[in-house]
Amino acid sequence: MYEAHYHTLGLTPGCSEEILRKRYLELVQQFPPELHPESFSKIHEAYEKLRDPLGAIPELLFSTRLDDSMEQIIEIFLTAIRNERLPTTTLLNMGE
Amino acid sequence: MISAKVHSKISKIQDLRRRGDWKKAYKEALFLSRNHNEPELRQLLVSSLWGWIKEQFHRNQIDEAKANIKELLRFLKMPNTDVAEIQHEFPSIFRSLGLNALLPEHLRQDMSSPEVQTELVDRFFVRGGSSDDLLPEIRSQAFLVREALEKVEAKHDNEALELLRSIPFHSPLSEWRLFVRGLISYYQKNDEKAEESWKRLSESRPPHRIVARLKKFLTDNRETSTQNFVLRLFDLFHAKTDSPQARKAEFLSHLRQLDNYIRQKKFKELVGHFQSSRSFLQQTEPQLYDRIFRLVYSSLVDDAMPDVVRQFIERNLPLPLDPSGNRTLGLLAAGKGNTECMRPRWLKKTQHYFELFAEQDIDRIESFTPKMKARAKAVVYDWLGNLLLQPLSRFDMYPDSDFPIQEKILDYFNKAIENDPTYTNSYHHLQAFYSSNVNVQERNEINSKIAEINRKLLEHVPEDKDALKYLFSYYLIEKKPSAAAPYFERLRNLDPLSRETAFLTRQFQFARLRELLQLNLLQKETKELFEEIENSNFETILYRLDALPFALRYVFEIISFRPSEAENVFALAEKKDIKRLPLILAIFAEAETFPLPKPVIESLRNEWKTTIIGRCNGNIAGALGDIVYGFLKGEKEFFDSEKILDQALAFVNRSGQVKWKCEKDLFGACNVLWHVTVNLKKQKYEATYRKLVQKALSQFPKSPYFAFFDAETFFLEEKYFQKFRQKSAIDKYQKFLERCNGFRNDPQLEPYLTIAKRRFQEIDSVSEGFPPYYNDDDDGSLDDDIPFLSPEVRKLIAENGLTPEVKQQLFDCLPKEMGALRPFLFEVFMECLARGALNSEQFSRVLQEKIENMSFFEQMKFMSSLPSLSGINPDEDEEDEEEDEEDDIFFPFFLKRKKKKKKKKKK
Repeated sequence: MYEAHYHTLGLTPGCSEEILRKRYLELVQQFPPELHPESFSKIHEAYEKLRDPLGAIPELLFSTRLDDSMEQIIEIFLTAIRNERLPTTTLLNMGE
Repeated sequence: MISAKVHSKISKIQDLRRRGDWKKAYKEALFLSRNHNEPELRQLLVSSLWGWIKEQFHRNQIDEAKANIKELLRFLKMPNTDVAEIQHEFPSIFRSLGLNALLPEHLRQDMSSPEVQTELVDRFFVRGGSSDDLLPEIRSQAFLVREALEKVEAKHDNEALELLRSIPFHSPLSEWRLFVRGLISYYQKNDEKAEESWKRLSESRPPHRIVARLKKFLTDNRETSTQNFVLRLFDLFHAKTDSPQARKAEFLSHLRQLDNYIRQKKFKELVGHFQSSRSFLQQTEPQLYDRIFRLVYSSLVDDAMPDVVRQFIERNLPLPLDPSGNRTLGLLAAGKGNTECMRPRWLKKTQHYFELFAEQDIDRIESFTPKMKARAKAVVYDWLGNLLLQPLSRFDMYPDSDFPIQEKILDYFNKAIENDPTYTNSYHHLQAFYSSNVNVQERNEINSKIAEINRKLLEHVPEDKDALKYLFSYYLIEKKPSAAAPYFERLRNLDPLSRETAFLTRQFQFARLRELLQLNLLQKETKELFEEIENSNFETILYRLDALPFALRYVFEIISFRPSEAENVFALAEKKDIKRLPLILAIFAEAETFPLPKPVIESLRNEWKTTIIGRCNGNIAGALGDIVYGFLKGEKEFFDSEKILDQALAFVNRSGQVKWKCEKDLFGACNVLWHVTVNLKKQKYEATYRKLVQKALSQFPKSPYFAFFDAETFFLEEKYFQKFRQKSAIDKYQKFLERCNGFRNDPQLEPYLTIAKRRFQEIDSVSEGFPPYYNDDDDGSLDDDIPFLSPEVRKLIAENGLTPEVKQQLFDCLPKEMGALRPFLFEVFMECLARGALNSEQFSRVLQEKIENMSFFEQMKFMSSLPSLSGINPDEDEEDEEEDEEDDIFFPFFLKRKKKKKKKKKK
């Protein structure tokens, strides 16, 4: 569950407070509350949880349940590939 | 003439050609041709060689192809070598191999012809062919297109378009220009624009082929399944090892395999596969690696056997937040919080590992700051204390054990506080520990201990509201408002304008007033306090809070020898809608603490006697109701209180026909009737209660209070176990909760909210057909199968339903020898009731289902609990090898078995 907050903000778990704050501000600009209330709410909640590292410790130490799955990881991986542009050589080889 | 033997060899060669094994076909033909020189055979030889050359060319085995072409040319020089069928293919391949000069003269084409240039251009792009034979102008255009493709790959689309501008329409490169433009649109996800360019492509040329393949992905691109797209991509390219595509394909296949193992719970294979692919995964996608690791770890800890988890730990130390693996082993032993069924053995293991983790490992967690380390230790010790606290407070798990549990719990909480005094949970749990299992005699001692804990908490967390509130209440109960004052001030400063603060202020004022009245001094201060109360804008729905200051004022004036001022208090109270009768009742209670002169008391009693039987009026009924409720709830007694309160209740009970003017009046009446009807089970008030609730709902539809009272009528229904009634009740409680939204943080509503939340669980535990086993036709004799469920308990259930008190009594019926199994078996028992019958068959069925639904680890823990029950029904006939289903380990021991006569086997 705790990791999910990092995923929401698109950050690597364990990043610094500075990076966290910077990313939060970026996302707030991208998803202002008046225009994107739901997204903003999720971003804000994730930020509030992550900026209190002491408060997260019980969950970090005792929770094994993850709000994650291999399916999600695969989906992220494949989406990244799909958004890549094919290498020129590979593209031209398709002309055989 | 060709012999039969040769014929058969020729057939073999043709077979090989059909199968596409050109190399072997050529070798066979070559061998055969050494002894036979027939034209047919020579044709076969040359065409097989040519097939092989083409194969090598397509496989990019350029040097080998060139060497074979030289061999081919040698054969072509031989007389009567017929190559008519294949020679049209020579120019293209020869040119591509840069061997145009070696072509037989009659086959050579003009290299500058448009057809040849077009072919060379296509070859340049698709096969990476040489640009030497390209005309200079065409060559430069080809380089431009190539550069444009690279710009597109780098996402510099505008620069790519710029490069393409100079390509003329008539050029062989125009086809490629169209292709690149369409490609840019495709990447920008503008399908229409891509199609505009691509529909003009020539089918015979490579760009069309590329587009055809891309278009297959185009449709996949718009599907939700990105996976199909990528899979086809990898399929198509036959990616070479170590190319980025190959690594990605391999990464994907590892993910899928890991996922399969997790789904199929093949944990040994999961660990093996993860270990073998670990460094590859880490190097290929370092950002995703952490997530994959956590997923694998989590699935193992949740479900795998301990030895598999140990293996994983040993191979992957240090684990995240677990340098030695002790935390993971502790979690395994704890069963992830399933502490209710834990036996002492598992508990000790859990303690052992987590103690090691706290003492030795936390300091080695690199990602933790010193503050986080201190907090982590506190959290662990607190968790351990709580772990032991739960079974102790709820189910008396260790009744006569020498396991020093109480000292251990204290030790854990103290260690938690020592490590991080700002971790408030530990203080709360310590309080809970002291509060549980306490005798009445020890109550004062416990309260002062808890007060001490809260004082300590405030030293480190000065604004902890719960601690401030506890100490404030503590000193008020101790009748020391001066000691409560500083805590009251601090609470007030935290939130001066809140509703809660207003109520706390009123509480403090009352306590202070009583203190002053007891001292009977400081008249000025007392008067000032009365004025302060009167002048405050405190609005409440509770008449008792309004009436109390006037009652105290009356007392004050009487003990100050000012009877006329005392009489005046009634007039002042009337301005606040408090009539004489309710005020007299409030005065009776205060008269216990501040003895009033006998004539005064007598006069008030006489007035009470005559007025209480008089005409009922809404305002008086409401005020009386609320004041009575305060006395009943606080179990306050005063002289003749039982009789007086009964008289007051009777008055309220006559208010069914009254016209109600305000919500406050109706609330006071409904509230007390709710308490006596639902909580105290006095049926004679039920009719009025129901009537008033309906009136209130129609008159004050937005009030949350009446929604609550309406929902509470569920507990008056005889057939409350019927499903539709339960649903209706749940809907009503939901409505109450919705109405509470406009009254956030109102202390008046809090008690009802707490009750409502509890009611959801209570209703859930009732099911249709209950009480199912209490049969009216039953002659009342004991069911042999359920020895501990006596008729008395059954009657209790039938009369009262499954209230929390009754449930506790049922639980207490379970034999104590069951120890750790009691809570689990109680759950089974409840489930049987919910299903409509409690007998041995139903019990076994439910028990078996619950066990089957457990994870492997949970089953193991359960089974390890069972040996504690062995010896209770020993199997006398040990020689009998036949399986007897009554010896099924799942059969609950405490249910009497029907004794079967076992047939002894003949030896």
